[in-house]
Amino acid sequence: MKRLLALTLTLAMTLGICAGCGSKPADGGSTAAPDAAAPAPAESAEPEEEAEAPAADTATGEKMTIGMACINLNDAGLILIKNGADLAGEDYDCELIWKACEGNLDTQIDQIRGFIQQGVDAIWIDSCDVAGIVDVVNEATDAGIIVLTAGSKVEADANYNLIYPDYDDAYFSATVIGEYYKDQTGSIGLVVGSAGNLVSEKRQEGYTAAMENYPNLKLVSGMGMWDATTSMTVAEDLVRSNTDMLHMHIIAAGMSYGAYQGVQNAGGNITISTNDGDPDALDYLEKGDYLLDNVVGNERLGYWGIVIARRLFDGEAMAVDQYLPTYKVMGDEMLKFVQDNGLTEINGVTYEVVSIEEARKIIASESYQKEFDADFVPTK
Amino acid sequence: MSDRKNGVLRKPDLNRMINIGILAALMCVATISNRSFLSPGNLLGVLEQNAAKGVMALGATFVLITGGIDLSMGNGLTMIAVVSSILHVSTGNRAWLLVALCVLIGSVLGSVNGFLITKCRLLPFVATLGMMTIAEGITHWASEGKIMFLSSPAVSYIGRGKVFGVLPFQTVAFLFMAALAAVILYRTRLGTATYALGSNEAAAACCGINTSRQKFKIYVLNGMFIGVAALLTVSRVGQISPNLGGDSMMDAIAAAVIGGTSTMGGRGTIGGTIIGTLIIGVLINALTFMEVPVNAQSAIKGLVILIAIVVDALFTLFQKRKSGKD
Repeated sequence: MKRLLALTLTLAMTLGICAGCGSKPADGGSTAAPDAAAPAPAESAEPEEEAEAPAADTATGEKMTIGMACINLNDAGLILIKNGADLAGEDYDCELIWKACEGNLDTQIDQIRGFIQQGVDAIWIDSCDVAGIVDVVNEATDAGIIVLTAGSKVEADANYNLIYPDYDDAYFSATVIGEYYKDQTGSIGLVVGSAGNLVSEKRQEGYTAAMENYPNLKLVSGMGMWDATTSMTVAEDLVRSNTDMLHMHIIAAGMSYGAYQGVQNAGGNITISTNDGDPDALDYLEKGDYLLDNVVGNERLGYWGIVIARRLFDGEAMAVDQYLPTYKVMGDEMLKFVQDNGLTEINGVTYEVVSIEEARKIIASESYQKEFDADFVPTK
Repeated sequence: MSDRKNGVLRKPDLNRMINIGILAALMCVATISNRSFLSPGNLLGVLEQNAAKGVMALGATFVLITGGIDLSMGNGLTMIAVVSSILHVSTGNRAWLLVALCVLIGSVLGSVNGFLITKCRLLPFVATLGMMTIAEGITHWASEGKIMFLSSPAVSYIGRGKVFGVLPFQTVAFLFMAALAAVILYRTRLGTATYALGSNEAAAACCGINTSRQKFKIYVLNGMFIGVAALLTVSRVGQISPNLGGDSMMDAIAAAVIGGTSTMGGRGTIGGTIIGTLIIGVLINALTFMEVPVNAQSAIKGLVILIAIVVDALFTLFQKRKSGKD
């Protein structure tokens, strides 16, 4: 029995090591991470010198330390954010210290206090709870530390908010779909993340608000819980329970692949749209499986946050709320539809629309390194 | 183990009848809300969706009957799926390798749990809690947070194929595993030992049962069931990601408990677990058909599970009092 146990434990360790080594797929699979996946056409077209060149010199010339407080470091999107931030750290001479609280507010508060004790120059926070971290953010800013809160507005005294327009982006997606199907009657599926999650709720609110303008379309929702299996099940149930479904919008690319499979399993012949502009989602868009996407670019997002931190550390004055430009991406036919119907401006908000090829360029590292170089002007 | 005595229905039958009643009620309400619910496509879809959870619940039934628990099931499933799939893809997409690796790594997971519980004398709660974290760590280390797609036709058939063009392969696999579990539980020494361990471990030892060895075997068996569930899950989704397992552990344990398996040990049936799995599956499906607001669905799901368990507990109490009077 002891020999058997020794053998099984050894086998387990060997398999684990093999798994770590074998993470690069053969011809049968593809990965979402840009460093492992085949380069996009746009990426390969760029000259190599641009990719290798650091984005900018720092004004102070001092090395900067940034505490990175994340909800988790497991999610595919957050891994991409980390990759982008790490690249910016190299380009702008910043040391990044990563901590993940696994969704626990108390742990996140402790981790931020730990950063204050360490005397870091700045703290970047992907907050579990925007109201719950206000006090500890004030403690940090009182200690002279630059604090950047990512994703949503935190109402503390002296922090900077790194905001991406989730509500407006979702509003745009819903309006385009509403106009696209304005002469038809049916239901529109919406797969959200989870209850209480700010990103999910903002995107849900934006989508729902825009859909109210189209009484011919009935919005039906399901919760994908950010995982592929649940998203697939939810998509199947939505398609089967709404035989008149015309379209399904999934609020995050990571869930959309499972949901797409679910639509196929349920025999749904509908169009699909998503958000985030991940490389795999752009492939789906190119094949015509998806109708619409929104390019945030998770790596780009991570890179941008560090650039803002560095500029603040170097003494640049900027607005408390910093906005990351996002881009709407779609195939040629849809692009023409949006332009012909004047949907690039809705309720006074202007949306920049790009082709799939342009979207690939935007999320490529050499592009966002250039986008956020010394000429980049933060929100003033 | 007999279900009848002097013509009076005893606990297992009554419990099953209550569960069937709950299942029927759920189906009626969903059908009234939306007639598409009873379409063959949807009913087969529900069976297909819940096959992997059902297989996991079968494994959990064995562990629960012994009075133990396995908290590493959900993360274990993800770890098995991720590690097996990475090896499968990196060695040329051989479907047999994926099948073999899932079962093998599942057995290893179960062996480690069994070793910690029987040889290191750790409580199942503590041992499997530790294993849960280790499995999560291995998953993230192996996958590096990336999403990977599977494209082998054989794997697609396991995930989405139809036997005779009608019955989902996943459902057939679940029924096969349920039959296997029933044979092991009702027709082997291991099955007898499973009930004996949960009823009174000391008495079982006095009767000559090697309790450590039998318990170890049960955890290995549970690991194999998790491995099969991982295979069914990953082949159906067609992709691997670090979030694959979702809340499968809670659903599996809930299915077994709703089906009449006692968390205190000594009681539980395969038939009950199958019905429990169906209740969970139909409930999730019915909430969508009934157009329950998305933010309320989790709460309602939890509430219905709680009601099912409370009703079961009340009837158990009622039966005990009644048999006391008799």
